[in-house]
Amino acid sequence: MDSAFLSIDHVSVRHSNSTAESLCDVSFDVAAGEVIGVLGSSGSGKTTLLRAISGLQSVSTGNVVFDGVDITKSPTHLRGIGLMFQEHALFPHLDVADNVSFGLRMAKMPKPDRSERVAEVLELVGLAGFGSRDIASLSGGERQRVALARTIAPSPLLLLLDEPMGSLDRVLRDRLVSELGDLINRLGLTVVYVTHDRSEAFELADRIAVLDRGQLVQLDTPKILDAQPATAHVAQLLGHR
Amino acid sequence: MVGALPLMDAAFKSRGGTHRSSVWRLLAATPPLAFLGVFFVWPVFAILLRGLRPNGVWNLAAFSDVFSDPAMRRVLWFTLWESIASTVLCVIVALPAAAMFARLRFRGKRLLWSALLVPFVLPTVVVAVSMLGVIGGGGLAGVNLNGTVWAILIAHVFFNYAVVVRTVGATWSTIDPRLEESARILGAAPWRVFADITWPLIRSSVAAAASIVFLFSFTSFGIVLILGGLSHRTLEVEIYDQTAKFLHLDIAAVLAIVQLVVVVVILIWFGRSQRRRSVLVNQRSASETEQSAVTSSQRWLIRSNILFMAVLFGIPLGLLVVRSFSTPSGWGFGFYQALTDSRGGSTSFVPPIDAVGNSLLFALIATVVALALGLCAAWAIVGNGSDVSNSRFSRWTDTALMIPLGTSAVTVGFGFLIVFDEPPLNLRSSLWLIPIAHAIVALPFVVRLLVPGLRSIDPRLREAASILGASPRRVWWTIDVPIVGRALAAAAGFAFAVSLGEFGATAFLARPDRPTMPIAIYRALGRPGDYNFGQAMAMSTILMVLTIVVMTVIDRFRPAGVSEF
Repeated sequence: MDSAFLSIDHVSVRHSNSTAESLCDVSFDVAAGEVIGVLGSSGSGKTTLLRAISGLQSVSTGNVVFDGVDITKSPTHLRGIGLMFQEHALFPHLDVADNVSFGLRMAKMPKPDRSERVAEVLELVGLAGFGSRDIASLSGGERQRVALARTIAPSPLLLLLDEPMGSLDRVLRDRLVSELGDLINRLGLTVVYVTHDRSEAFELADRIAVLDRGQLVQLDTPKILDAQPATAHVAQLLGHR
Repeated sequence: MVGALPLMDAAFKSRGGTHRSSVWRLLAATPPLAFLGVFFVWPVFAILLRGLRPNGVWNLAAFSDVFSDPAMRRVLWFTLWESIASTVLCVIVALPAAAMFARLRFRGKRLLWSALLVPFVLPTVVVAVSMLGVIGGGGLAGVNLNGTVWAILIAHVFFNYAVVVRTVGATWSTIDPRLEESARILGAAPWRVFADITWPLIRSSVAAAASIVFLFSFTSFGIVLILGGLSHRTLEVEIYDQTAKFLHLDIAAVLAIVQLVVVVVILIWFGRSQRRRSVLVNQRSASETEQSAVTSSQRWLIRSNILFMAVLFGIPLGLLVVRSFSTPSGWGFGFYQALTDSRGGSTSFVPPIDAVGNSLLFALIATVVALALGLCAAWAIVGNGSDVSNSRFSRWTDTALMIPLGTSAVTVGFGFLIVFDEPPLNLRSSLWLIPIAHAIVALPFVVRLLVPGLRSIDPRLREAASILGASPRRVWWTIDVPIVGRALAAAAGFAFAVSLGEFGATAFLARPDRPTMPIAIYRALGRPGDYNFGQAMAMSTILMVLTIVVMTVIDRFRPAGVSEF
């Protein structure tokens, strides 16, 4: 597929210490504006996949091609990809506004434009006026929103989300998932969304990739996946008996 | 800054490249270890040689002389039981306060928690002088405890109270209260809950704190020298007297060796208890475990603890300040004015006020030296946090740098005296000797503050910055520097305060015309009369205020939360 926006081409990741999860010959393409859900139990290589795409993890073999450019060897900070961490990794020594504007500062955006963009993004995630708040004073849901705002502020072409709802309770989670879905649609974002939660994947994703012990076992639309799970493990992950 | 490089190197890569990183770590570890080698290991080695091999022949005669002398045996025995008594007393009075800080929420808690550090860093000489004001002859308490062991024990509790409260309190606050609650539900009475649940969980932190208190009491110098009188003498005081008064360097060396052996044994035990400590499971953050005082016994716990602290700290220090203004001719600055007078005593021919300038200068140099070396050491110890193969190297470096903490300042001063007064390094008359000794004493504190600072940087923060487009250099500037900056400021303040108050090593090294403030205070105490005692109190007040100012400045940079130091 030449039209692929992001192309994962036979990517393998091996860790020096064998206990960590790894990837084994994973290939798939993502079209522009598409939302891919990555489903798998813990240790299946979901997080490693995101780290490989973003460059935090160097790949052993294979290539990552993004927007027509092979970025396999380029350093993380030059890739222009957004990643939202599982535990958010907000900078504790900066306030909300400075966290959100960090990426803009790195992109050398002039200061007035920066504060305008920060206000805009905070408004977008429902945290208007939170700019001067201390990170420590935020609730779990607020932190999640700040992390999202920080990730989308530099307008990355590709958004990687690593269990973004990880530590939140069910009610909050349901609300934020639907909000996130609206936001992705509105901004027309291309997203790779890692989760272990079936319902999140089904609600947000156009297609779902299922990882099992580092291997891609199935990649299909939710409907097909549900109707024809490729293996017993996939069926189990989807909650089939 | 060489020390910065390993960190930047760590930021350059996610994983792998272990080889390159260990080379940087080795390089970073070199300056502090070399400094330690020249200014600590060499002097200690010289003491060993002096004691074991007097006149160039291996000979243990000096040891049998010392051990068969009843006076020396009394000194050894007193040092031992005085330290044990101080430790037990300190743990008993401090545990209730640790419980209060760990479990209860009350107004002013954070302030009190930081204020506790003030007595810990106050110069020994200041504490001794303030104790004299309360329990000395004509003191407030109405009884003269001066020269009794009680004066020494109370002063040791004064110093070490914060060590126990903060060490045990920090651990206690991470214990999930639900463990205790479930024991209650299963039918355990409150004392059983403490004995069967709480105590086993805090025991190792109590052991850690107790070993520190024991070490500090065992190597206590200024307190015993001033409050012990003629009958109560510890090893430290004896080493000093044998060197400075009787010039029996061989006997002093033997005593220093005995002391070193005890210190090393305690340090090994301390290391063990520290390692066991790190296995606490299910830690909670302190804010989750505290609750407001509801029952009357909880309120009583808070009130009695605060009253105790007010008496222990408030009365001696308050009285010190008050009496420094209470001259024979009424209230005024008489004693302070006298500090500018060079005729005050026959032994000193410089005005005592000069000591303030000397102390500040020495403290500045000591701080810069200790910080530079401490940064290198901390970077070498922490590395990039991801590779396991170097953990033995980091533990070894860590332990090596902790040794001066346990070793007495008197040993450092004594070692300097016998090593640096002859070629190749004749520094006897050099002004550098004092700040270098202070840096050796301060280095363990600096490393202790910087290592957690560096470790506290979650590697994901660096990754997040990198994702957002920060180059490795910018990651270092925007993430590492600001976060470590706080620890760095705290370490600087600590090193400065330690240097300001250092007495043991300085007593050996200070030249008559360049006294530091603690030395000037000790000299004033050595001269008879209310006039000289008044000067000692005035100088102590100045030193106390300076120390408190430094600690207050530090506290503004201290990260929030219940940390040990």
